[in-house]
Amino acid sequence: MSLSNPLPFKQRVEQGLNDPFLRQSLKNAQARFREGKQRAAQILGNLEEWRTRAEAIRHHTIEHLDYYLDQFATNVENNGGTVFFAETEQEAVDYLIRLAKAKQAKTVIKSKSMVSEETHVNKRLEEIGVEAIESDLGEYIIQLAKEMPSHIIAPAIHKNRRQIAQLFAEVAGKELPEDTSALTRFARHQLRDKFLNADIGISGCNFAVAETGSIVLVSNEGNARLTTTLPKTHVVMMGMERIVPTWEDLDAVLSLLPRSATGQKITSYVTALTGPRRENDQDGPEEMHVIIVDNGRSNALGTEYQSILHCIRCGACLNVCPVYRHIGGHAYGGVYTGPVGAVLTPILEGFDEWEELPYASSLCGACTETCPVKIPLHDMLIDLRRDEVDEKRSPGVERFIFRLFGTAMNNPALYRLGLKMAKHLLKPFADDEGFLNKGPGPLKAWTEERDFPAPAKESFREWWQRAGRYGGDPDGR
Amino acid sequence: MADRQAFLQKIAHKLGRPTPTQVNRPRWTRHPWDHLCQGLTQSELVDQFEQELSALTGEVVRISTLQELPEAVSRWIQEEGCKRIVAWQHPSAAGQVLTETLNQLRDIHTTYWSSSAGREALIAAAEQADLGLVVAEHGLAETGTVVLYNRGEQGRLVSLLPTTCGVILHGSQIIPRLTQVLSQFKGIVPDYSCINLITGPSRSADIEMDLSIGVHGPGRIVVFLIDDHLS
Ligand code: SF4
Repeated sequence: MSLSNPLPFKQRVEQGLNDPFLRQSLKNAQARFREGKQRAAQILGNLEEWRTRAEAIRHHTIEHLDYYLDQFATNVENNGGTVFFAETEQEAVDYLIRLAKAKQAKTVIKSKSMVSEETHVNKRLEEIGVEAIESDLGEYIIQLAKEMPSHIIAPAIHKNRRQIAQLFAEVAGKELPEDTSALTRFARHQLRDKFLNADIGISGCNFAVAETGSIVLVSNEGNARLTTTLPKTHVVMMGMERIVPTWEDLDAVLSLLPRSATGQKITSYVTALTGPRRENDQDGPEEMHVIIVDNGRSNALGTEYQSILHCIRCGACLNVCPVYRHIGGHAYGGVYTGPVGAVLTPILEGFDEWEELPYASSLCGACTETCPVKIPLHDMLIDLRRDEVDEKRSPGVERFIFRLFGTAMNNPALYRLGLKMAKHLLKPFADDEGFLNKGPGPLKAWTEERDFPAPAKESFREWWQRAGRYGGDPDGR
Repeated sequence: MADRQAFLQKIAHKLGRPTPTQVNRPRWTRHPWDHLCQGLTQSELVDQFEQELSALTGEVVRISTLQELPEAVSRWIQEEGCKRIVAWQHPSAAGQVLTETLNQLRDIHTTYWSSSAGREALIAAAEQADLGLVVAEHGLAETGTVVLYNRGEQGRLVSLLPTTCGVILHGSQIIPRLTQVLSQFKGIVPDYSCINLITGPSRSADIEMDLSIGVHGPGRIVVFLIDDHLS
């Protein structure tokens, strides 16, 4: 069992379902992010054209990933930076540890980086006595709580004000008022100090521009700027798919990222970094190290899942997902949550620990519909399920589905969803003529004796909604 | 140590071909952003910039000519009660006017970012300043963004550490959107280790989705906008 996945899936789901604050705040956040996104789309006026372009750029880049990575790395080196290619988590962290030791680092300040979360950097640094501090306010909160992010854009969305005040009070050694501005002030004060004294800054990379070897970071708080300006050494940890070929290509994805995430037209800060500081510069790091990480990403290359590498981590798919809303991010167990996590985590790490994840979806298709780079997320979830069935991994999973079904029967909205789900869920079990001859769960007893017809493509309810009471009558009498 | 060639070859292998030595990038005849800000006059772009920035609680002080900059900046500094300032030395005319203006202010301590002063002292000065003054290369109308090129005397921390960020911007330098500035970057970024696009104050919604301002960077941004596009 990996570090990031301490409890079995079912228990994680149950925890999520039994947390009323979590469910309410996710509902509110989803609504807010979704509305923002819709407004932003309206202002653009031609969202489909943007999506088509962004998809084309991402597709082209991933199809030529080796070429662009090579170009990018060469340019980083020409600008005075150092590049390290890490095939595995181990290699990535070992490089960082070597560097931290060479620099005799005591503290490391980090701005939000999913890759460093993925590679368990904080723990490894801790082991050699280096303190790693998360500087993004949300990340700082969950670091104090010793938890994992539960949303890509809003990592501490599951925490309420009182919990945050308590966490900060422990650091402060005294009571703190439970209001946002006081808590923010405290964090700002606390973190300023850390920034000024940190030996190494670790950032992620939102986009890397191959044609000039530049790193582009977006943030609202400015913590990414501090992280990459104050410490003498800057380490960029980037997933190998984060490349765009040119600055022109960046336009499409950079314009879509904040609009899809929160509905902002642009984040407060967009920073383009090209190498370490130059001779005349007083601020900026003396050294820039870029660690390019595979860590399982290449498992997707050349397969039907390749386009999951198109993801720009906007979180829009989380914000429309009914399952995410009910169970919350932690139920997914991995670093990446929601629909993108349900697809990505098993690809990165294999099915062994993650076989339930592809089932953590209602297959309503909202994720696919909203994804700014048009990743067919729900199709991939179906394909992953099929792959699991092919690997004969289904029984445990089936039991889980039927438990979910039990929950759904008590909730009308979920029940309607469940009806929609059934046809997809059962699809992998159907034979060519549409009969189930090895049905899952309770169906098994039946199908051992005879075949059971697979659910029709369109349910009666769906047909009724479409055709109405006078079904099929063109005049709609 | 993972070897670059092995790493890239693995990708090529997965993609079922050798690593290409040349790539034909798709070319498009039109772009999804073509229609944005089309047909706006320079005045309209400037107005749009002001509206967008104001909507994000950014402040805009309109100034009719560069000659009036000293008075406007001094008045603002006095009214807001700024005591410690850190500022860029920018080679442009506006940059020079700014330096002269600040030199004449009494009872106010100004530190100029400089490639010869000590790094630690500069950082400390920026940290304690209540106003950091910079000169923008561009403004983006669509988003109310200012574009800052950092190097040498134009330090990155001047726009980041003080509690307020003050920006000098010419109306004639306001362009429609990101597109126009990105199109220059290929030639420009090699000369600047850092370019910042700043849109409004530092903000966060991490505590119960409640907006808080000034989390790490400045809580205020004020743009002194010189209306030179009208003359
Ligand atoms: S899969 Fe698509 S919608 Fe989800 S985070 Fe990635 S880019 Fe955004």
